[in-house]
Amino acid sequence: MSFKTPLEEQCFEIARRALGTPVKIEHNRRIQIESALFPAVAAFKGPPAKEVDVIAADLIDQPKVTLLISCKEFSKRAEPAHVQEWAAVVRTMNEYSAGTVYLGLIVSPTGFTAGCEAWATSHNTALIPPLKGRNLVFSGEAVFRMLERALIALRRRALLKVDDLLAPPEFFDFVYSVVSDFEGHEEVAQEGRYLARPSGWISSFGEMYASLAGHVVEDLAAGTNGTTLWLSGGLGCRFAGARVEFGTGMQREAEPLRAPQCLKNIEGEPCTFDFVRSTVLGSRVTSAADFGDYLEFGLDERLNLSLHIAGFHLVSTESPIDQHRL
Amino acid sequence: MATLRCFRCKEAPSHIRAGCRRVSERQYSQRFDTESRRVVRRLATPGDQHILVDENGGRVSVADLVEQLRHDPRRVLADDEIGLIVYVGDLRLYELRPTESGEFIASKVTQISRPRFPVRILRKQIGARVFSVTADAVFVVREKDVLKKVRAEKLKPGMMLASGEKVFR
Repeated sequence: MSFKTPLEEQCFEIARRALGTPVKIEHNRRIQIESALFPAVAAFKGPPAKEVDVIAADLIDQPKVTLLISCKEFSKRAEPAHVQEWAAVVRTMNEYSAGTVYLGLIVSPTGFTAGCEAWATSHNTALIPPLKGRNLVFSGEAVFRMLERALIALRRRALLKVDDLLAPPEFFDFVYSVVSDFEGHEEVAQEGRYLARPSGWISSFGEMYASLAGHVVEDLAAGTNGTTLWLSGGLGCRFAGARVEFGTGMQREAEPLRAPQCLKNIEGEPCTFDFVRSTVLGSRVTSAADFGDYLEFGLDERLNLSLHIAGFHLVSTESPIDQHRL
Repeated sequence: MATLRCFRCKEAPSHIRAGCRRVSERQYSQRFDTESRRVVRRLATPGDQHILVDENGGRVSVADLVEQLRHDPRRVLADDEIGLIVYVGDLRLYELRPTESGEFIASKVTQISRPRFPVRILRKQIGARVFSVTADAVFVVREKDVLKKVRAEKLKPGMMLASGEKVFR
């Protein structure tokens, strides 16, 4: 298998992995319509044909639906002419098809100019990355993940129902809907504060709390780069300043233990690690807050345990304060 | 906050009266199967604001539905770091959208998307409706004799949607 560009090779590998069906790549392939018995396509050189570089993959057999992917590797964004060209190829293939339905998709890691959308929607040609109405630049890695997500979703969708995708702009919109949410993900990923385990996915405060809420504190630990709260169900939450990891499958052994700095009450009176640990063990996580330089958990609605890089701070939240000092 | 996205819906031109909850299955089938032709843009509004009904007009809980369907691998189009998309096109589910006259327009829902990182939420008034919508939701606006896509964050008072509704704020 030879590839003209790294983009082609990567798209091919993604298509093969995502679709699980035979995927072909052809260079200077002379594609020709399936049925040439129409006066409309008669010409001195024969029926319409065009040499293209294409990644072709059969999505389903009944009806036969084939996806034609065009990889555009430009230094600038792809222009309407590029969309028009591919749309014309796919449209002609469909118009004179002997049963096969062709869907067109264009991948251009540098993006598309705004004028491309109208041509893509009217010809039902999917674009990756999506045009979202404002200048958005996606990383190359994000574009490849978009392609993989779109192909996996398309494969599953085709097995369920495909005929409704064939009328413009349904296929364009379907792919758009599958990849447009990358925008929110990319924005969060730039910050990259929360990391879910064991998936390694970028996460959010909301997801962190949703996964930890209601679990019982089983242990506390301090490492060289932060502190960890161990909870029932094999869950952990490690605070390391700029990064918060949570979830299952976190390694305890990999964390070199040290004596953490421990404080109690609002005034921050020094106390021992054993005191903090014995006080919070068995408590249930009932709330959480992220203050940037520390992470705070409400426990049993009567304690606040703060995870700092250097140690822990435990405060009673019951009132009157004087009678509930730790 | 998780959001729900219903898109590529077929809009029924005829309105369903607000109090018309117990429309028979037959009526619904006729109404939606034969009259659903116009296409509406997708919505991206918080899940708790959606009115999702089955073909009999019974209210459907979006959260319960998603939890139920996400365990059916056949329906899950995507479930990854970006979010979850489940196919519901065969379940005859409809989203009800209130109109200025107090009636509802039913739009067939083909898939439900729950992105893990929804973008900013805005409050908009379009027609008589005041609702929350994600900033990247796409609306089709009529400008003279052309239609144009506009993100929610760029909607301006006075714009007219393709559906005939006016943007107030």
